[in-house]
Amino acid sequence: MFLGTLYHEIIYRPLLNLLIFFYNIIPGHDIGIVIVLLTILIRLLLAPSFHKSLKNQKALNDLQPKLNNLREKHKDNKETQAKAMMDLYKEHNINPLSSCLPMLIQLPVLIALYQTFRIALGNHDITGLYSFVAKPSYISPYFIHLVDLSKTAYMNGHWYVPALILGLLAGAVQYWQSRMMLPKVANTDPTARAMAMQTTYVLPLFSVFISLRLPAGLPLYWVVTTLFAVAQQYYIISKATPKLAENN
Amino acid sequence: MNFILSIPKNIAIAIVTLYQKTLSPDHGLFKSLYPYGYCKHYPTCSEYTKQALDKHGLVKGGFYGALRILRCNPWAESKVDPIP
Repeated sequence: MFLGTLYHEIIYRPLLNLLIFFYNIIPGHDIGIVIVLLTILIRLLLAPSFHKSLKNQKALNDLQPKLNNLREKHKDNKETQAKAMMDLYKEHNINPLSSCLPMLIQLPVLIALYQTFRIALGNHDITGLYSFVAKPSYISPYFIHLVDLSKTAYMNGHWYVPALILGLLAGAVQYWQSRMMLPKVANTDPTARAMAMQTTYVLPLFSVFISLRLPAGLPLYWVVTTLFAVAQQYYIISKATPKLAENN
Repeated sequence: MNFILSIPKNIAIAIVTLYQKTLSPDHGLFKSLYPYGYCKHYPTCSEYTKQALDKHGLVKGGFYGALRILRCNPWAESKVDPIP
């Protein structure tokens, strides 16, 4: 109960108020643009330090052969393998590993974001607004007059094409992200290859499948959040590679 | 008797396993996006929590798991961190 109240007051309510606040002040009062802006804002706040990721990425490109050696050498004992790799990172003063605590903190934020989109698009009576945030009499579900974000791609025997397009787009950017982030080196380990296949093909298909069953605002969120991850990764890779060539 | 007493712990283990099969960046569907791994320590937080639950039961094991996640923060140094 206590955790529920904490979630509602610290995460969900501020996000809902921010969403309605954006909707009130944006010219044209477009809920689609609000979803895009809010998603980018939250991703920026949750983004890890770009500088640190950059430094790690550069150093890792150099260390790749050594890491592969260690993997091969200790392939029968995961614990000594982990130890040896950690020592190598320490020696080179880098660490490609993330940490679980920040992830567990941002998970509820993303869930709350999703919830606020559902509330805003469902045209429910909105409760929990702060006194200084005016309650809009009506929230138009249209995104630049083109897509009704509250509609599902397939409803009552009819296809709604704009929502279908957003759903397919969600799968396409997801595929782009997987292709970009997966390591290019040919992996000979069959389980690792199967996992990579799964991320490259199954996840995008899964995104499309889920997207087609949800109001179009949520695939829109998925497209924006995935594009953000792609842009972030692209920035890190493009900054890391040319510098590496100079050093050699 | 033993079977009934271990129900709480086994439910908790099942939840962690479900997390590992889906959202976990170290074991789940997005695993290949993190070629170097995600969790800072060895074994990963979820694996550590699972084994701690199995060994010490729901209350004590859950407590060990929570402490471990607190240790897995951006300021911590990576280490091999066995289950107590």
